[in-house]
This record gives sequence, C-alpha cells and structure tokens, in this order.
Amino acid sequence: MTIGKKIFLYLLLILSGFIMFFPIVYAFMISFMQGGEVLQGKLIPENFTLTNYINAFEKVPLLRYLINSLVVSTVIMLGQLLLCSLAAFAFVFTKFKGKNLLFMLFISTMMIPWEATMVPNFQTVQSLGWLNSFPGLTIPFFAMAFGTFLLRQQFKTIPIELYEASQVSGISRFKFFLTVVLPISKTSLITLGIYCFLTAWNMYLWPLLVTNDEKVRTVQIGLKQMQTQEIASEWGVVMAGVMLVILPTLLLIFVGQKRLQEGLTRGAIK
Amino acid sequence: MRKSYQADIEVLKGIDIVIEPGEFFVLVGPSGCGKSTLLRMIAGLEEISSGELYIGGAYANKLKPSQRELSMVFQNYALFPHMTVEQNIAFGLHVKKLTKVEQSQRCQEAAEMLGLTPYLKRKPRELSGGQRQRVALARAIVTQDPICLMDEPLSNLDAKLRTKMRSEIRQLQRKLGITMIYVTHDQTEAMTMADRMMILNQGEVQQVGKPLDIYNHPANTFVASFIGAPPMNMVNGYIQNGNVHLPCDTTLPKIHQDLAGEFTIGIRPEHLVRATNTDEATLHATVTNVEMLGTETLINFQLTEKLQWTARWQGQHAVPLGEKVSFAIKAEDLVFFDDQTKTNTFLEGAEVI
Repeated sequence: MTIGKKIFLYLLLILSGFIMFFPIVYAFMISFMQGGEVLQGKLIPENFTLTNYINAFEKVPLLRYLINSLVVSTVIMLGQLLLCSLAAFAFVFTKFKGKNLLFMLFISTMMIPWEATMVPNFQTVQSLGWLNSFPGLTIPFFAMAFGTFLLRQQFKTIPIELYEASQVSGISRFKFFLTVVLPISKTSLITLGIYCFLTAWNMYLWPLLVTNDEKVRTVQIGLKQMQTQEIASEWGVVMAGVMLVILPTLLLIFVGQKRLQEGLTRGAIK
Repeated sequence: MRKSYQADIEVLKGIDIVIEPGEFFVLVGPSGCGKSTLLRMIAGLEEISSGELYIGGAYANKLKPSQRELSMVFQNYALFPHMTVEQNIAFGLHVKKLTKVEQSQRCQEAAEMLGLTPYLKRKPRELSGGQRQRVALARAIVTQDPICLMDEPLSNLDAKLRTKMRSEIRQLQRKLGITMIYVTHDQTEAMTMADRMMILNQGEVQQVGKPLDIYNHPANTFVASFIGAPPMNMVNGYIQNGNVHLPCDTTLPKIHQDLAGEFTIGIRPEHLVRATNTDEATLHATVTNVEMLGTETLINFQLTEKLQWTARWQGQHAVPLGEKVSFAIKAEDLVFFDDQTKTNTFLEGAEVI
C-alpha cells in the first residue's frame, strides 16, 4: 500500500470514527454544561464542573438503579452461561432420539423477534407473581438459542475422543463437563458472558414492562424517568446520567474487545 | 479371556475369537473393514447388536466402559489440551479410589518408564508428536488395568519414530504382561508386533494366527495380497497332468500331480530367484522397473500384457530395463487358491475361519 493510499484510508477512518462517536462525545460535553448552554448550541462547555453528576444522583436514585442493573445483568449472564453451556453439552455429547430436530427447533426460535413473545412472557411472569422482582427481570432471559448455538459450535471442536477417553477412565459426564469441556471453551464462555452482560445492561422494554417500583428498576428506566422529570430543561443532568450508564459498557468493550472478536469468530466460523 | 460376537449385520459379521491373557493381539485390515468398530465394541463405546462379549470370563455386554477394567489409546491421543502432562496421566486415577500419594507415585512410575519425567509440567501442545504419543501410553498404563486397547496409535507419527515406538510398545507390553488389543491398517506393524493377528476385510474374519503362519500360509487371496510388502504375486492359471500352466505361455512342468483344474496361483516375490541353467521350472519375462534398496532389489516385470509381477532379490542387482530375465520357481513356494472361492487349497482344516 502506498503512503498516499494509507493517509487517505486513515483520514477516512478518522472521519467515520468521529461521525460514529460524535453523539457520545457531544453527550459527554453536555453533561458538563450549565442550564442554557445546550440551547445556545455550544459544543464545548464554558467550565467543567461536576454539578450535573451530583444532581443526577440526587434527582433520581441513580445509585440504586446502577446496582439493580448490575445485579440483573450479572444474574442473567451467569444464568445464561450455565443453561446454555449445559444445553450445548447435551446437544454435542449425548445421544438421544430427535436430537437434530430438537436443535433445529431450538435454533429456529432465533428467528422469532423477542418482542413477539413479549406478551405471553409478560402474562407468564405476571401469573407467577414475579412482577417487580428480580426473578421476573432475569429468568426469562436464561435460556437463549444464540448462546446455546455459539457454545455448541465451540464444543463441537472438542474431539469426541476426549469424551470417550474419560468414559473409559470412568469420569462421569458432569465431571467431564466441568473439568474438560468448560476449561477448553474458556474463550467462548467469556465472549458469551460479555455479550450477555451488555445485552442485559442495555435492556429497556422488558424492565419497563415488569417493574414499576424503583426498588428493582434498572438504570435504563432510570434515565428515561430522569428525562421525563426534567422535561428537557436540564439536559446536562440527563447526559450526566447517560455517561454514568454507558461507562460500564465502554469499559467492558475496551477490556474485552479482543476476546469478544476472537470468541465470536471462533465459535461461528470454525 | 473370551469374547465372541455374532453378526453385527452392518459392519461385523460373526466374529468368534478368544484372546489369551498377556497376548499381543493385532487386528489388521484395510480402512473401513470394521476393526476399529470391533475395538470400540470391546471398550464399550459402541453397542453390541448381537452376540456376547466376555472379559476375564465375565459377561460384559452391558458393562460401562469404566467397569471393563481396560485402558485405551486413541489415534489422536485424546490428550486434554488444558492440563499438564502430569494431570493428563493422573486423570481418571482418582476414580480408582487411590490416595493422593499413591496417585502421584504411579504417575511418576509411568512417566519414568516412558521417559516423560522432564516434561511433567508441560502442556501437550508444547510436546512433539512422539512425546504426546508417550503421554497417551503413560495414561493407559498408569491405570494398571489388565487390558489395553490401542486404536492405530502410531499412524500420526513419521516413519522413523513409528519404528521406534513399535518396539517400545512391544517391550512395554511384555514387561507389564498386559493383554494388548491393537488395531492397525499397517501390515508391517501387525507382522512385527503381534503374537497373533486377525485379518479383517469388510467385517469378515479372513484369517487368525501367528504372523509367520499367516505369511507362509495365507488362507485366501485377500490375505496373500494384504500381508507382505510387496504383496504376493498372483495370476490365474491351470494345472493339467501335473504341469502348471501360466497365462504367459509358461509351463512349469511336474509340479503337482494330485491337483487339476483352474487355480489362482501365487508366489512371494522373494521366491522368484534368478534362474541358473540347471533349474527346471523357469519363467522368462521383460524387466520394466528396478528399485534398488541397498540390501535388496525389487524387480518389476511384465508377466502378461496387463499383469506385472515383482521379484525381490537379495543384494544389489543392476538389471537393465527391457532385458529378458529368467526366474526360477520351486514347486513348494507356489500357493494355489481355488479359482471360485479364492481360498487356499492346502489349508483345509487349518486355522481358517
């Protein structure tokens, strides 16, 4: 590649990167602005103060929401990892009648948009009396076709001889799962974990439906609430909240980016 | 120990065999002949459709693999990539209800026997092919099970290492006195390692016996061509008045008085020696290719228009291509196979199944 081409390419990348990132940067800037500054169309605040951030915590129970979100996301992540890996293990290492049919059926649920199943899900959760509770927020997301599929692809790369060797030496199925399958699939598990956590963290519609109590509300709802309360007069506070909410997401992406790419491609392509 | 099968219709047909304790028993045959399936049935990894399997006198059809008191070495070694060599070897020992001390002691012993002691802390991917092979072996012997099954364990190694491991495995088996059931498609491995071997083709037993017996007295044309490299030379011919007629206008006079009719006639390459003037039965043919291997020379020659035979001469012979060469044939070296059944005419009632 010639130097000119390289420069052109990088300029293009920087430009598109800037366009992509602009809303976040702008939100970051607004989060430091005072009252009217936003409406004046300023891009850079006059002075950087943390008042908005302090306000954000005072106006709504933001800390509470953050903790709720953390709990919900972590529980969903763990639950999904557990159930998906067990399901994938069954699909790969056990023999039973109709295995392929069942798997097809399982995978086909990926084609149904989640919103379509929301009403029956809501009714189920309601009749279980799980409204306004952590089980209602988390349990419907434990069994996911995508996670099962991703892990199945990973498990399929494990030579079947490993399973047979442990059978011969008398290792139980579950022990094999714990001591061999899981450690070998570490990368894929981490990938799926990050993915689950982020999806759960960014979830909006479902928590909105099943919660109306701030004790269990997640942070995304909190943001919306903040916006409605403020009625667009104090954008700075809202944006401060936004910054606090996307912070964990960004952190996870930066820390786990390499693993995320690695795992996603490994599971899907191989 | 006794095991017997009857008809696993698809792949294995009516196998009935007793493998003696402490024996090195080799299952050999071309790919897809069912030898691995048979081994996996013994291991309990594959179901037995019908027939009975006895291990150490006990009915074993329904036993789980772990209850059969056997160890197994896989073709791709089946090492656990995330564990160290030591963990790999000791994996499964805890099931045997041994104390930690005993476990590590056995592990040390096995590692020492196979020269793995310096590598105990390494991961399998940091080892060479031969070392991985040794780890797989160590894992098999550390259990001290009386029976060891091996499924083409050497096929991933290069030729030199294979020869070395061959004798190592054999020595190990003798030293420990374990019963070894070894699957291979390589007839050299079978010949060199086996106490007894079974030749399978398309799920059917072709012959069972000691390697040399099988080499000298192949039960049928399949065995004759499968065992021995280069394989036995064969051609369709007939016997009349005790004279053997080959399709290459060659008549070998006064060879067999009591046989008559059509036969597939076979002879080992090493029995086709260079004719001296006094030899009675000779064969004249044009040399098409010569391979000199140092200690021996392989000579390909055109027997008929479509058929080439190979002769193996000791020493180095620079035979010019295209030259007519005479080969001497002794009557006792010829093997006659029935033209229809392809079975050895002189092996009735011998160790044939």
